[in-house]
Amino acid sequence: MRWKAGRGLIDLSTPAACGGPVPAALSMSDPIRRIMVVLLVGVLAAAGALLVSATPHAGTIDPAIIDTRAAAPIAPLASASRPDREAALAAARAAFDRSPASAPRIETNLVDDLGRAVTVSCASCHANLEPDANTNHAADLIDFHEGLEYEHGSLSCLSCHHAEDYNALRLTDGLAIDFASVQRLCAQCHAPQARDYERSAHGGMMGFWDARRGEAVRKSCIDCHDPHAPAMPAMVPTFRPHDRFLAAPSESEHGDDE
Amino acid sequence: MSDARDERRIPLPVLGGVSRRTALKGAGAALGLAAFGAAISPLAHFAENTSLDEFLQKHYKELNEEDKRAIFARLEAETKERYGADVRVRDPQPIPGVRFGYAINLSLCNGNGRCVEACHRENNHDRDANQSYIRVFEMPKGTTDLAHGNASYEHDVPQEGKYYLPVQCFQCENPPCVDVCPVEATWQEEDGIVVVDYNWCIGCRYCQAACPYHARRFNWKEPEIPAEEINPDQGYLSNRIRPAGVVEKCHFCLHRTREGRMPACLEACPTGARLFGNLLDPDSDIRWVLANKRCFVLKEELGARPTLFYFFD
Repeated sequence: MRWKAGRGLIDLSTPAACGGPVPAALSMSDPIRRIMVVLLVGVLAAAGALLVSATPHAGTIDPAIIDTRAAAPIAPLASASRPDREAALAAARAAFDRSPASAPRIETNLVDDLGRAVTVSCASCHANLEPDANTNHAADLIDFHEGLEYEHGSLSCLSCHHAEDYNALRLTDGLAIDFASVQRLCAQCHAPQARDYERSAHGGMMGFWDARRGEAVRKSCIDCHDPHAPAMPAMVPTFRPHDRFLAAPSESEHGDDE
Repeated sequence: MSDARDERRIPLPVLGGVSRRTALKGAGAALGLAAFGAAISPLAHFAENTSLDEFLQKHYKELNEEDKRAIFARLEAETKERYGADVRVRDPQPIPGVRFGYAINLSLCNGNGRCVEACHRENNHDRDANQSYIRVFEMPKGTTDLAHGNASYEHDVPQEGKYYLPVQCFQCENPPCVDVCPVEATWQEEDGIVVVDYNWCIGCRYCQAACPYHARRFNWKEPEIPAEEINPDQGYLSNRIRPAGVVEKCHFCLHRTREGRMPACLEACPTGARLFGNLLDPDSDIRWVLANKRCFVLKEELGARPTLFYFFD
């Protein structure tokens, strides 16, 4: 094939295509260079269009917003006093004794003259009842605690509830402790959990990880575990993200490549 | 071919006296221009959604305090305009002497997924995509190979014979994702958190391919979030609403943790399986766990050195 010098581009760029005569310097014979020139013109046009369309947005930020912003300093942290591990531990121990605040009150489904719910303490009934050390099934509770869910090993009621003081709990040595110290009671059998709890490896963390900035808070055993049926209940999972990695693996694909 | 044939002109009804060759050249050039125009048309769209300030914005590390104030004010104004929500964009800095570590007790985790949901809400993820930085895999006991995991289970948990493995960004000490970024839009901060400058990211997704843990996400579209659900406490490098077309990832809730608070996923965990703290503090709980529990990381042989550890007890 033979290309005629100085012909093609001029022919291509007649006024209809480019809007005017093409300078002599652009009249080149090599078709690749011609294409490059066309692309260059396109890029320049695109850049121009981009700038033109972007410019009207340049002034969208109201200077007043920036000024307001400068006048509002970032709020200081909750408390940034001093790094003290002991303080953090003391705070955590305070949390240890946090819940429950006192012996539980029993709801009676009655209301007093002022419309307040009437509750009674355990001792209201149990002070007049003879304790039965053999009661260790919820089904045995026919009078008041009927329907209580109980699933806690082979313990009987009086393993943990104090037979002589129903407003207290009972350690294995017979010592009465108040309900607020329930974790001491649990720790008698669940020592590894109690140890891990001390170091946040059981029971989770709340509040601040950094003692310099705020208090660490931990839940009580019975915040998560029902003392009468302490196993964590089955849960319904939350929504699943829509994600291409989430498809369940097919048995044929992954079943036998062990 | 003869010269005479070359010079022959075929009369065409439309083009009149123009040769076929010239006509083809013209058509080719017109097609080329049209294709080029189509190829760069996203730029015009880009220009519609991008202010000049945003287009000219420098890399995060080159911004001074004044630049940041203006940028944060612009982001807040844009959020107000597009979502109708009043938010506060901040830029908490790493705390000197702190390197974050995370540990998850797999004996306690029961796969309930509250962490997934908490992340979704805390980090202003697109509501439609149900996106989150955390996946919880239901794994058959006896393997940590994620290929055997199922993250789309919907039955009650826990199931017999399964354990549950929450996977999110491990903030690796030797992050492969950072190495591959062609524009340095992602990097590791002093406290170990690997962050992304969402305004610098070009969306090439190399980092997504490089991450052995599938921890990065691509923002396919502009997030849709009802104004009342937008978390107004936002960090520039963390949970501010990301533009479409950029890569994002878990940042250990740096807008919370750099102020001493816990990550949102940890606070949401109802089983207490999650543990967070400062790896450089020898008295921290996370250090006690590392010293006293049999901790492991996923795909240790790759040498990425994750700072999120798993343990059973």
